[in-house]
Amino acid sequence: MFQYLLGRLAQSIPTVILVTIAVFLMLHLTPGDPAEVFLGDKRSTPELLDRVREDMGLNRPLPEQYLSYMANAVRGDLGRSLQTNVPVIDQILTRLPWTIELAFAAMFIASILGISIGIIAALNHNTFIDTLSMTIALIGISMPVYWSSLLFILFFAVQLKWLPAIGQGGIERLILPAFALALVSAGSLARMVRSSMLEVLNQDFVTTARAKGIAERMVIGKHVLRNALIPVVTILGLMLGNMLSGAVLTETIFNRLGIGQMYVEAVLQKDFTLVQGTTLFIALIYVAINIIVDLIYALIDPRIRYV
Amino acid sequence: MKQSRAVRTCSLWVSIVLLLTLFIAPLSAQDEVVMTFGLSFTVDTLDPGATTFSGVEIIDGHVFDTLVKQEPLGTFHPSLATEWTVNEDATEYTFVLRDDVTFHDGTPFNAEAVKFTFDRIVDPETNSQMAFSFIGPYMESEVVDEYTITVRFSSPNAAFLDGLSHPQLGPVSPAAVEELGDDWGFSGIVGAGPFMFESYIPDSEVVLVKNPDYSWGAEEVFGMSGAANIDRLIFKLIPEPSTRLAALESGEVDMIDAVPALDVQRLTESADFEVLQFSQAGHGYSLMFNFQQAPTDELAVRQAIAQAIDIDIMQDIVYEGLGTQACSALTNVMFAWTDVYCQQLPYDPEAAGATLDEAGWVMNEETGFRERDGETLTIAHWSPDRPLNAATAQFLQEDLTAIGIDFQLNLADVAAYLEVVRAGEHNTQQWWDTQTDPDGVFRTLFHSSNAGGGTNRNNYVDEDMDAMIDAAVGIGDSAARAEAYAEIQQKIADDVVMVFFNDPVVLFASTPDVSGVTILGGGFIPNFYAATVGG
Repeated sequence: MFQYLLGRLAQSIPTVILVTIAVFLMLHLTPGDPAEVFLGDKRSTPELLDRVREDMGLNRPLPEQYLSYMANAVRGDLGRSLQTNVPVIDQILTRLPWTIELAFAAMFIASILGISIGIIAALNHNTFIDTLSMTIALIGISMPVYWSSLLFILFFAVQLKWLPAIGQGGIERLILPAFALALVSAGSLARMVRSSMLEVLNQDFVTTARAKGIAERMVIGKHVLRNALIPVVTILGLMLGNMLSGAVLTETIFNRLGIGQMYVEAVLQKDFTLVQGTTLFIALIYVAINIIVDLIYALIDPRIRYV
Repeated sequence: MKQSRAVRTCSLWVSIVLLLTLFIAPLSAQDEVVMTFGLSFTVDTLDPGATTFSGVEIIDGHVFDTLVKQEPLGTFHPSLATEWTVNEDATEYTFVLRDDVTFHDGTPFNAEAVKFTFDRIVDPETNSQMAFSFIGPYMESEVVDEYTITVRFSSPNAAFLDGLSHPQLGPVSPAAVEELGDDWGFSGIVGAGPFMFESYIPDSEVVLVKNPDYSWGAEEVFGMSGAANIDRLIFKLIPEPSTRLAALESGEVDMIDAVPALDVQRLTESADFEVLQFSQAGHGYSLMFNFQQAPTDELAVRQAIAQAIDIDIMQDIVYEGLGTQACSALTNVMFAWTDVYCQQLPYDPEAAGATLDEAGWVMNEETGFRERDGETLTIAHWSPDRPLNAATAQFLQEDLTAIGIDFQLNLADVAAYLEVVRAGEHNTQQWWDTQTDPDGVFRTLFHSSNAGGGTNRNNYVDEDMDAMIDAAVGIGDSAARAEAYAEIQQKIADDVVMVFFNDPVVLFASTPDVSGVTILGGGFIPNFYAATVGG
């Protein structure tokens, strides 16, 4: 198990290095001189440009810039924000709890909604309930998150005044954004669970179990669900990654503090170091989640053993 | 088994009840007056000397009192300075300061503190941009006595009182700046204004509380001088327009800025909200002619274009009926504004055609475009691809095609657009700007020092104009200075350097509970010192 973990970590190193190179080159792929773009319509003098270049480390050769960036990054130093001069890592860490709170709340809602709708649909296969459940799931998938977010704000905050529209802190400010973020995932999860359940329900061992006279609740709970949920775990893992980074729209619309909202602001303000650092951070989270998903497989499916 | 199920059911209910109690908002203290403002801007730093974001001025204006207050534009009132004198060529200003003022941290306010503030702005370490441009050609400050200070400039600076009315030049507590070091502007700011800093969460909110010892308000501007009516002033940073509006409509904020134009009518008609419109200071929406590129180097062509555009109709079609028709490089609230341009160049497509005929640009009936010596009259228009720019450009295209001009639209991304217009390869481009002193507007657009890739993308290089702009900024007497700016506006109309479309409005919306808001800075800067919320 431990050996597998080490191997898996080693495998992810090239991925991380590729990501860092891509992130690093991003700065140099923007059209024109990054220092000029940074200054935009402000009046630029040669001295000011030189100072910006020096601040951004642009006056050194590219490989040298990359190596020093990496050397610092390994030590947890992602540079300082060009706008506020606050260390990038601090800026990420102060916002991370809010994004994690949102992602996990959304994940929780998506799992409950998605899995239960999926199970209900599968158990009532080819009935009105099945059609209804899948229509609901389709609506969930089809609503873009920015649109559902705005609808939620208009309906629950502006019209009904049940919940606050903006900000963070307290469960009342978490409900609307978490539901908005959860809907798409819940929809695809419901479809996934349904088809996975149907597949397992038609297998011989289910027939055998029923023939043995095991109570239907036990058949579904112990045999069918446990098998049907294995592929779902992969999706859940990826979903969490998507939610951590996909919080961009939700956080912006609900004006919540978080990594996503900070990312949007950083792009708009051409804060290159902050964009670089955040992209790298999100990439690392993806890699970590994938490893964790692999490990969880073993816990759910006794047939998978890591030696 | 049975019992444990009962226990489970019971605990489920308990947790549901607990969850529900979280929904019920705690009753807030009734005796505290809280005002929450939804601000469209974000914050880089709250340091007035170093910020580059114009929205920070709104927040800092409550924490930092200024030496003088300006209202309306061009009229100055005593604030931290009780009186002042200016020498004839506007290179030396002497201020007599109030002797009863203390900063929020207890540091006494005096001439030393003002000198410290100004010296800090020009110190390269501060990396000042906005404050640096407000302070102009600053040379030195001399502390004459405890409450008298003389400020000297290396060249005339009649715009200094305007700069001084902005909180970017508001005196800071020297002790607090030293003590906070790198955290100044982030974990704290200390001025002598009616509100004190309490907390700042980046990208989220800034909270200020009333300064109970405040007794030096500018009575002429605010109608009061004691402590503020509001106990707690909260700025929520909400850059997303629809979210900002929703925050107002759901009652989470009392007032917002930058109301989306499309929602103005709906809010105006609603009894639950009030919309406040203010004319914007500086320069409105306009068109620049590139003097270094044919055919806009030709007076007849510029004049014909200026007279062929139906700017009156444009107000409704392009600008949603907001604001008014522009008649100068200055918006109509600016000091020294004249409408000579509109009088001289009214809408007259027939006259425009005649002007072009006279200049030899003859209509080719086959193509529908005018030609001279086999060359078509073509205008290359460049603009960043944004909705308002596109709407403006399409309107221009229609009117100009009607008199036989081949007006070519190039809507590009910002980087590509900047590359073309900085290199001077365009014929026309759009402009919008905000300033509070005429010198800034004229210098930005018409002075040769800003031509050739700078902000004077008219590439208008004229020795007489340079001399007129440089002379006007050195005139200390305001009537004589206004006269000088009238001549500059006459010359702009004579040379048809630009076409002026619209003097925009700045839009705020609030609940009817909010009253007494003072709007400074020519419409841009709401001030809540004299404001109150509720009964």
